[in-house]
Amino acid sequence: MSNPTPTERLHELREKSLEGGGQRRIDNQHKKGKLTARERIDFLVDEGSFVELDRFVAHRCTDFGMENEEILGDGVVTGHALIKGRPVYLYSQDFTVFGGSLSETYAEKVCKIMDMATKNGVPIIGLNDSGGARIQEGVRSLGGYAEIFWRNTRASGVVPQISAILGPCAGGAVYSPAITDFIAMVEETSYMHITGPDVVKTVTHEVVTSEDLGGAAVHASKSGVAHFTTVDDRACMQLIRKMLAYLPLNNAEMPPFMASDDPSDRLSPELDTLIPADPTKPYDIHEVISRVMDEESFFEVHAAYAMNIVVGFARLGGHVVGVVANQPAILAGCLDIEASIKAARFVRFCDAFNIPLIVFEDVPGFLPGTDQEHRGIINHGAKLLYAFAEATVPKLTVITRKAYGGAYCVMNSKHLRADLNVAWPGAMIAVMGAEGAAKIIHRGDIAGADDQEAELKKRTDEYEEKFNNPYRAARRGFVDDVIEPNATRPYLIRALELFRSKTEAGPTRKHGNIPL
Amino acid sequence: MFNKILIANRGEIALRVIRTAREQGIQTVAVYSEADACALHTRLADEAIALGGFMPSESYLDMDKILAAAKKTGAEAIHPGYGFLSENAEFARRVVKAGMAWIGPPPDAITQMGDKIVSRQIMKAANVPMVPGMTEPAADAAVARAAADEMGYPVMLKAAAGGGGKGIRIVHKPEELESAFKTASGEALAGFGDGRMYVERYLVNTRHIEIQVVFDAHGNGVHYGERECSMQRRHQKLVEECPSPAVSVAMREEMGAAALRAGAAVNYEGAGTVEFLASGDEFFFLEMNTRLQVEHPVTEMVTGIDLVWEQLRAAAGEQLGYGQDAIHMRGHSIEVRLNAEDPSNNYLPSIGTIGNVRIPGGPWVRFDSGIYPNMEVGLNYDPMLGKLIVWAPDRMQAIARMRRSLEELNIGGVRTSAVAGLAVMNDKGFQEGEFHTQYLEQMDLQEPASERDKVVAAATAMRRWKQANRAALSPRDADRLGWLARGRVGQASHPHIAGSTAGFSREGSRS
Amino acid sequence: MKYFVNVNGRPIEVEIVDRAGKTVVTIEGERADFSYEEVDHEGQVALVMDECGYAVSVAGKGNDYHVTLAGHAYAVEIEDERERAAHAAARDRGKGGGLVKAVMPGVVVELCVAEGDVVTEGQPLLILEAMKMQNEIGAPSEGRVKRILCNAGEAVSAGAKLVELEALPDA
Repeated sequence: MSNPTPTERLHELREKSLEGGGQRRIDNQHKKGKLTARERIDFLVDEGSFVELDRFVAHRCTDFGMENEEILGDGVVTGHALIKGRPVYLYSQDFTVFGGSLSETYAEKVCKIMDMATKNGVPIIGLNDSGGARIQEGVRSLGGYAEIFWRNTRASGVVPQISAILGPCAGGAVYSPAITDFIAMVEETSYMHITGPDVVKTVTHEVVTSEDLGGAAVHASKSGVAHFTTVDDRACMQLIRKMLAYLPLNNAEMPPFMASDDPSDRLSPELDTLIPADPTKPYDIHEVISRVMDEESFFEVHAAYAMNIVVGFARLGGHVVGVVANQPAILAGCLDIEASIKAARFVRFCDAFNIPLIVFEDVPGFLPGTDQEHRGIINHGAKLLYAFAEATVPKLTVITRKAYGGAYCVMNSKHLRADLNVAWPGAMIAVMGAEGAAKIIHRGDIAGADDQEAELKKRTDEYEEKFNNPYRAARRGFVDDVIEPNATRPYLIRALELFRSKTEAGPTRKHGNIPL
Repeated sequence: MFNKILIANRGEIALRVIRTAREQGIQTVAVYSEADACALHTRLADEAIALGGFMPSESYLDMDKILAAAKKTGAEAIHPGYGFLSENAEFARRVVKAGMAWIGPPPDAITQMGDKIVSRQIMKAANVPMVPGMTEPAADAAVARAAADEMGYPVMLKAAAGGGGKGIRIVHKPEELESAFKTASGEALAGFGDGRMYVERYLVNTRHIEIQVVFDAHGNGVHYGERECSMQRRHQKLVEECPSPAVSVAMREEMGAAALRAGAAVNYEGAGTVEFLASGDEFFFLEMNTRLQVEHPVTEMVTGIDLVWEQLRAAAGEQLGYGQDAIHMRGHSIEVRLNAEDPSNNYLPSIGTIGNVRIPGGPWVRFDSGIYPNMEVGLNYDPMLGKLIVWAPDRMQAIARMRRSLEELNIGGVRTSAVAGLAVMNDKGFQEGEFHTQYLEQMDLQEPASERDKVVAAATAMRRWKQANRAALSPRDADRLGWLARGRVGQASHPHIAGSTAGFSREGSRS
Repeated sequence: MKYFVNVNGRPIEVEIVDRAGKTVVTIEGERADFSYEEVDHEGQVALVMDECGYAVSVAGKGNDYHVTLAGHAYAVEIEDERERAAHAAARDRGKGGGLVKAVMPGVVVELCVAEGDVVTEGQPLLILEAMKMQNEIGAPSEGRVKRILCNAGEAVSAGAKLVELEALPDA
């Protein structure tokens, strides 16, 4: 049999590189309800747009008989593609090849596309499904991981980085996704933890499964490591496609504009009656967001974590904005440790990527209690304050109801150089609630009164009338205007239009020292 | 004969007239609206005058503009085609008054045949059979009942002032008539303010058969046999043929004679068509169309006569020059109308831009149409894009030829009635000649599943695959101008650490 | 890439992959010997499949195509795997709901339903007059009329929202 021609050889090798770990292992993936590395790419990217790089790379390991087992591609599929017509670089870990474990050459492949992404100003997407370091490679594998982490850090705030966890992601490997901007996990088939159940059992004698230790549900609601969870691989790819439509390609670009059928001058009369007259009664801030933003444009991020604050992307008059909103329906909208962390990171992401911030404020204060204090609400609350103060993107705040005390300062107040602050007529901007204030200020009068309760009520009502409204703040220009709720949408669109060309310089420094 | 004529129409009929005129050495003047600046009739005529305006009211129906164009170009006659001003007696009079010949019947004939009551009266006097019915309204239900009993059931109760399908009731049994009369009359009173009703016999399973006639200005007239036009939907014809499989030689003679009597009764000149409803071997006058019909080609193919030329000759005052015995019908011709509509979706009008066009050819295949690739098909004008006509020595061969031609035909960019035409050709009832005016509407046009479905699926998938691959070559929204601009600035000021300052410096942030 | 094609209502699976430099087409699991050339930019295609020649005309893009072959017209819907998963999710969410838009400009002559009415698939929702013909616009699926977004006598442009349907609650 004669030698193959060069073209035939190319086709042969290309075919070979598609095999991965073989049909049996591919079937195993499918049985678990997971897709293969390439199938995930097919689902993620625009038809026919994926260009693979380094498909012929093979490992260099000669220990432990590894030289006899060479698989082209070495367990990760890397390259670039288009998502809704916009370029991305991506890597997709192949669990069928050596369990998706990372080797020196594997890491080189990933580093190469990350370098290209940061050179070209294009987002990076990582599809993680890996057993961790390739033991046979030893320290070289660890080195590989570190090279990746360094690049994640260098790219942070330069190009958007998104990680999908579609299988195991354990040990040191978790740091790459942790540094990236967003993590999406697939329910039941993925998990993330630093130390696995076996080691945990040995050291702390706790018996726990991977799912309970670091599954999607745990990270979405308890730890907040995962921003999204999806029901399967396909839905995860859909989610990433949807999310990218809100993000710019890099930190020098604006997010993509998408004109909406929703008229810019649409009024929302329902907002006038949405807020209950009784300030102790809650309402769902999603109702406000969905009515003000372009129809169906709100993409919530981190929905299951710290539900007392709502963050996410939306479009307002076709322009992408980042929404941060207290949720009066949960914990009365109080700020606590988790909410502060969640919102602070989101604010800093928007600031890094030219996404204006729209804040809906209805916050009675910080959550009291020893748990909060002992766990450091001081430090963590400061994060959110720092993030708002530091941000130089356009910042607009709408006070829908309460804005009390320190939380008033934190939630993008004028003093933090917010660009526009407006309040609804029912807004209550004060140091604290009327009753608490009355108790302190008129302590003497109340103590000396015949009917203490009546006196308290009288003083409370007085305070309420005099201070618990937006006009004290308006008199000082701390809010720029008081507007009817139904007109919020056109008002914000108009304002945003002007602030789009905002430029602001800060002092020269390497970087600040945000409390961590 | 005229030296120059103006055609006051558009689309395929304008082209049709231009073609015969040019063959006969007559100069042609086309008129066109703004929408038709690129139309074939505009391009192929000798002279073309812009009428301005988009809507028909501003162009093809604007008598002043058309007469001005004729005067400007020195046209000696005006051919109105069909539709638009072709049956407008006022326009005909104005043309004559302006010193030009009107290529059509005398204005009075147009007026008389255009009036339903007057035409029926004239037909009655001319002994032309009509649908049995009352010629005056029924005084009350009892009178109606008596008339109905006499003419035979089923009958149709019609409002004298009616229209649009309102105020009509079909009565099958005598005992139902009186209550039907009351409700129909009430409906008519409410709808038109006039509750008068008359009774007509309701003919079922009728066929629509028409006779082509031509008269010269000297009282000579000849008929060219019949056309079978029963394949209709909502009274719009889809498939026409000549001769009709249901008409015998004797019936043809009778119908022809009746048609000639009808024309003579109004002193007709030029080409015209007398439409009949036929049931068995009975036929009843429906109306006379005082113009050239859309389906005239099938008569031309079978008789070998150029009807447009006969129109021009008659209008120029020439003698007909031949008698009835000179007309021979040879072979069989079928026409399918190609309308921009979607038969599979309730014939919803289809709009768009004509894409690729593949016209069938071969022996005795004729394609009369004004379409061309990139033509805009909108809602301004009639949706008829053109007509496909075939001739063959007998009916079965004609059907086979039409089927073959429709399989070759492709008009991209819009949906057309060609699929319905093909379904008719494949229909057993049509092939056996057993059909009537309600037949088409009852036909199921659903494509049966076949192996071809796989070919279609594969072709579609491949096209999509190719389109996707092509799209992947040119990313949209991929400008990285901000990045590039900043990169160049960075390189210029810090050439030794180019790119590394990105993301670390806090100064001068871009918003 | 696997495609789920629906030809005049009949579902057919077609898979297209690039293998060893050639494009391989598999129809309903069977490999087809395939040659496909685009004759022009208007969708004329020369197709030789299993040694049979076909002159096909393909118009459309995305999910809806219209194919003409030998005088027969086919309405074809096509989804790739990703779209199918996405649409399935959307279909389950909004079963029977949706917006009915005008396919062409015209005048709304008559509304046949009122808000709150339950309708079956194909039931006439309104009459739209265009090109001198009265066209019945039917419901795309069963559901309930949530909102009527047009008025009788109103002229509408192509793409205008006419009726909003919502899914019926599971019985």
